[in-house]
Amino acid sequence: MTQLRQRESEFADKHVQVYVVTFDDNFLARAYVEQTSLKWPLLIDRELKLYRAFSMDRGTWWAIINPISIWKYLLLMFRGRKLQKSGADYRQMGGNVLIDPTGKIRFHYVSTTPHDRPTVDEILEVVGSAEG
Amino acid sequence: MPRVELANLPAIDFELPDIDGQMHRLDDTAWRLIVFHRHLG
Repeated sequence: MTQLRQRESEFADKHVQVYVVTFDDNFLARAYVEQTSLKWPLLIDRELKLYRAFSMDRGTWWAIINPISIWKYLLLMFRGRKLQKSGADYRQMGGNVLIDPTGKIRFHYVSTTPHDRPTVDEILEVVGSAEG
Repeated sequence: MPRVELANLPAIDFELPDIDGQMHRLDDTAWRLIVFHRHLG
């Protein structure tokens, strides 16, 4: 998310509307928006319908709690991010879906670990190549 | 569970509320990136 936000203007320049989706409750979602100053709409999907529709899977416990993910969480905390207790599913993975103006999915990425995400370049490349 | 690859398939339409209760649907005139977050804690 940090990498995406650092390049917000590039998405705006390419007219890509970004939606962020969470399955946490409104209270946590609002706190997240305030803490991170998120400008994109944060949509709430408590029943995980959209997660399931786009095949966002649950991971194994080892995928969630491993030395790399623990290290990355420690880095986040070191940078000032306050970790909060979530009542939601810790094993639910995230991911990214890019949809073109005709409604076709052009990029579909399901994370395999908490910090596994495609690069911003990968995403923007798909937009750029489709637009020639 | 086997991973399902959805690239090049039509996206499903959706309607979800944001934190202020405003409903959002897929805008069918622009590129859209949906970022699925893990838990926010």
